[in-house]
Amino acid sequence: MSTSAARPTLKRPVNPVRRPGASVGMRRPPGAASNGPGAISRGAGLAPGSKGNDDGYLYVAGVRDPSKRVTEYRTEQDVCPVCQTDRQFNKNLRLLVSPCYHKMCESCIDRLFTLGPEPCPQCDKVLRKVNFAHQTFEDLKVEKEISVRRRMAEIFNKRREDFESLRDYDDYLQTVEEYTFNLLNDVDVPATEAALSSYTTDNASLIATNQQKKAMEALSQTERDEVEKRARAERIHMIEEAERVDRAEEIRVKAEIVDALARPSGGQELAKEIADRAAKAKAARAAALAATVPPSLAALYNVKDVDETPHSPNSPSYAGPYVPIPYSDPDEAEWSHWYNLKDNYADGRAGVVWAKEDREGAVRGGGWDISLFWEMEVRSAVEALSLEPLA
Amino acid sequence: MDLAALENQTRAERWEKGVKIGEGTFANVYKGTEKATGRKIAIKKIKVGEMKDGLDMTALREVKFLQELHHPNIIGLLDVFSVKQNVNLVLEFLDTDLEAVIRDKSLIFQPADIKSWTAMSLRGLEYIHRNGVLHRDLKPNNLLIASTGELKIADFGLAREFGDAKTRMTSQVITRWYRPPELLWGARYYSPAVDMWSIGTIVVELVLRVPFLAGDSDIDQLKKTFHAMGSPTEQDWPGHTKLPDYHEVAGYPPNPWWNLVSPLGRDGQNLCRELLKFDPMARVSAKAALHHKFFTTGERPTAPILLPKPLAELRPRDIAPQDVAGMPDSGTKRKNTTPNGTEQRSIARKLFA
Ligand SMILES: Nc1ncnc2c1ncn2[C@@H]1O[C@H](COP(=O)(O)OP(=O)(O)OP(=O)(O)O)[C@@H](O)[C@H]1O
Ligand SMILES: [Mg+2]
Ligand SMILES: [Zn+2]
Ligand SMILES: [Zn+2]
Repeated sequence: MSTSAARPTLKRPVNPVRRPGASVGMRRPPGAASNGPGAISRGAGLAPGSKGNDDGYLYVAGVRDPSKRVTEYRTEQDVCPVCQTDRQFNKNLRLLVSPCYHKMCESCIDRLFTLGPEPCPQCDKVLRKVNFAHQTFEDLKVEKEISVRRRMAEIFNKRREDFESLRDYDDYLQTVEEYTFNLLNDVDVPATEAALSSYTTDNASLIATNQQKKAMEALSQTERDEVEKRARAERIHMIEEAERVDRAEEIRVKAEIVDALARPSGGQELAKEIADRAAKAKAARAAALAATVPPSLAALYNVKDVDETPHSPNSPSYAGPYVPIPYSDPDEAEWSHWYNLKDNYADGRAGVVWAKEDREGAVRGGGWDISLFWEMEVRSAVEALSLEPLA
Repeated sequence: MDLAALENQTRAERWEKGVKIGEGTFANVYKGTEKATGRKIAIKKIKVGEMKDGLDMTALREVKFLQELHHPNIIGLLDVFSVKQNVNLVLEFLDTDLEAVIRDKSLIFQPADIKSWTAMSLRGLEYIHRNGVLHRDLKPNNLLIASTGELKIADFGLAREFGDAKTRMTSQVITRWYRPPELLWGARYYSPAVDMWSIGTIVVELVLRVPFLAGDSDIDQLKKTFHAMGSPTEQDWPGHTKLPDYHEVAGYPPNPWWNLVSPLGRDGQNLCRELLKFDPMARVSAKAALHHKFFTTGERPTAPILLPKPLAELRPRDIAPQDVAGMPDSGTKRKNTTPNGTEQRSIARKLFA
């Protein structure tokens, strides 16, 4: 099973996250055909119009066990990145992979790690000999692809609406694709990592915002799933109902035909007419059934018109501002009509004068509102008028 | 034993204290029963405060406001008694809180559910504001949910009366993620609009199912806010540069953040924008919000009893959410909010629910 991945020569990758294409970093020699059954065709997942020249593709060749599972990948082009030994020089060259996805030949691993943990010669992550032992290349391919793509998707979650122009968005996608390519193929790793980390700091809050958007979309997805589940149940119910009608009709039509045939004359023609009509009606019912959208789906996919008519206080589901009873509308309180507020009052209290002038600008920005203050004073004074005096 | 002590004791004896069901920064909450009727209640025991005389202002405020405020969307206070120097509030028992509902990912919210929770919060808050009180600690965890599905505003430990002219108020209120920009910039003269901002962030959270603006410091909170919504201009918000702790957090471009709440429809998006206006003077009041088209057209708000609720009783909770890494502290809280005598003004009110 070999797959191809595009180098970032694309103008605009369709979807940098979901594009197929696993790669362990072995470049395909010009002219070589892609190997193995199930190879994904070269153009798969590419934007229309992108060039598919061979130079742009990677491939992996596999060594398969009898169950056709790839146990180890090797190619004629294998080179140990540490000691530069290649397959021409050592036919049995075996490259193993570290948890940081760096390849190394067995003899390098022996030489470097026999005495204990040492930093990876390519990225300085501290490694032990046992770390190299267990992975097949296929595992690596999948794991690395997933982990890199997942990591990229988490950081590079900008959306079209975050850019002024489509062009900017394209450039961004292309950059992301370049970084992804670099990490997948061990190209310019330190520089790429540095670029990622500075991007992450610079865009921390937008990244967070977009993660929230994603969470929200996930929510609507769950809702959608829920609706679809309900729709399926409705559909099944509709079909059962239609079948029941069909069976009942069949019995009724049969009886009618028997009656018609029992007639002394013209029975044959009448029976045929009844049968024809019944067949047409059945076809019409089937067509109607096929055309009916389950109610929950209809509600979901049809753009709902917002019902602009205000809820009525007499409707059982009324939910106006102060309901349900026994809440009451404060504007209906007796005393609420006992006063009219003015926009401004001649109020000479020192605090009020100070707040009105707001020389230091201490009041306006914080939103302290003199009219609220007046309103409260006037209202509480008036409210007090309606209180029973204390005995 | 004097008469007051005797009366306190008889009151205390009406209630049976059970297991601990919740812990806040300043109180432990226990499940309990009314001995005579077997009715479930909650006992909130205020932790001993820093006040010299041992009587915590928190308790006093909470008792004072809860005794005066009676509304279907505000938690009911049934009794108060003290044991040693601890003040115990006897509250109606509530099953869960909005935070637990939001966090329960097995629950699916329909827009009509969000409409219902928002309406209930606003009803309670409109009543609180109408009576001249600022809540100053609205967050999902302080919006409790009764077994009937009804939402009740709780935790009045940070509440105070609306400031008189020239009365400085502390800006260290409201848990950070729900705190409006004027408080983050240290405003000392503010209005009920601070609570409206909290409601706005809560509504967005109900859609996102994660806190909308989760800053990890006060400065980061401003950055996250403006990053999401664009930096304010003098035109958006006159006078903001004069706020005491103002520092420039400019350069974030305007951003159509209301797309985040598109499931609420055009009217819901519009209400969110009204609730989250930077300029507190332009921010919608609770009363005006209740009259918003969002509530009176389109889908009806879900009836409280039909609202999604966690199946299992989530209690007892081991740790206060505030102790969990990543949760922001609410300001410096109670210690700073002691009223300085002259601030307090008493408003005669006829409480009209
Ligand atoms: N009446 C009640 N019924 C059931 N549980 C309750 C009740 N009151 C409070 N709780 C639980 O106890 C927790 C703490 O209560 P509360 O918020 O009143 O205390 P607090 O110390 O003031 O909290 P905070 O730190 O949030 O300010 C709540 O989050 C809630 O889970
Ligand atoms: Mg609380
Ligand atoms: Zn080697
Ligand atoms: Zn390495």
